[in-house]
Amino acid sequence: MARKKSYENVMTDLDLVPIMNMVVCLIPMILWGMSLVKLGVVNINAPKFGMGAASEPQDEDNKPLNLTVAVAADGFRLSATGADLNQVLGLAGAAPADGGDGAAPVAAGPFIPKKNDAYDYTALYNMMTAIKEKFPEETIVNLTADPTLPFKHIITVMDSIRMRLDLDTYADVSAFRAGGIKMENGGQVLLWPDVVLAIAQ
Amino acid sequence: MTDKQLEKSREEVIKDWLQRHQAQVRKERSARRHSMETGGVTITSLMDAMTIILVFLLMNYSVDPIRIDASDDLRLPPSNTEINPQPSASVTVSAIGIVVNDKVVVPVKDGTVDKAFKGGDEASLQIQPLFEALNEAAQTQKDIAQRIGSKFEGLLTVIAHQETSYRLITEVLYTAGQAEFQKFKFAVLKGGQRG
Repeated sequence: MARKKSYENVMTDLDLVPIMNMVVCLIPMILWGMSLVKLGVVNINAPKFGMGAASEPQDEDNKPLNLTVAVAADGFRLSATGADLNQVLGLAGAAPADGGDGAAPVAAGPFIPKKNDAYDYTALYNMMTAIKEKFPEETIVNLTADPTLPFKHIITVMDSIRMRLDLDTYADVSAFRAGGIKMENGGQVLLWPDVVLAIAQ
Repeated sequence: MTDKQLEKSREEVIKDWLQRHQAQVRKERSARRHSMETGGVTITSLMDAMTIILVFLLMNYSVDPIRIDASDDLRLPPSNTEINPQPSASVTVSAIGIVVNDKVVVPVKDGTVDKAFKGGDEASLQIQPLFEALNEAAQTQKDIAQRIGSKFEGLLTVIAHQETSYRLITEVLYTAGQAEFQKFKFAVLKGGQRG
């Protein structure tokens, strides 16, 4: 028999090129997909609905401000049980409205109407900063809304009043959006970070 | 020619042939080696590395604390928050249903839950099937906390569609509160702007 040709006995390697093609396409695709959708979370407090301990012990000397921002279909309504907001902000007092939310009568507060059919977050920020100036220790704000209001507006309200910006008042939306966050001692200055969702009845 | 001479010449012929054959084999071998050097690339090690990276990325994706299947019924609101999600129990409120642990517990129609699920009371804040599902989830979290020796935090991540009505959100929060969840976080998409 003729001598076998030596190279016929050599085992050929697997052809890995097609698998490599697939893998090299898949990995950047997955990395790109992961970078597109960035999820974050927003902290929120729900009030203790009549069961369990109260959120904070009531201080006899300092009545809490109990600032409430009600997001209605036509704008924002601010109110507080611990102070008359119109007086605090130096605005003309509105006619007292009856507290439809619960037992405690709420002092009628300022109303921020919608601007160009969109919520005026800039005016809300301006007002919240002014209130913060008078009550620097308060950080809790109660948020309530119309029962049919989409939830995204609540998130935007929380975003607008969470941090203190460089300026205390802004004239228009674009300046407000472009405003930088005020930094102090290496950390961001908070405005109204603790939000409690109140029940809409 | 004599036999001896013939033999000799035969040997010479064989030797010549052998030499030629060996030269040919050597040439083929070097040609093959040469071609292998320029043409083939050993990609086995590269394949190993790529496969491990791929498996790692897929595993990372699947054990993400929040997994959302984005669709028209579940679009998260944008926000400028910088807090990252952390592993916790979660409840998903989409436009068509409320989901706990990959199981639809209550259907949602027109942004509200039918009063049949609220014990027949339209004004009630507690959604019964959701309460039962969240109770189970709370129990699982408590078991886990006990096993690893930490405290049950009662943290619930709410993954809600941006058009969810405020009323439904408060009902979900109330029901979760009844199931002993005290801390809540809302899932949002990063990159939103204030105002």
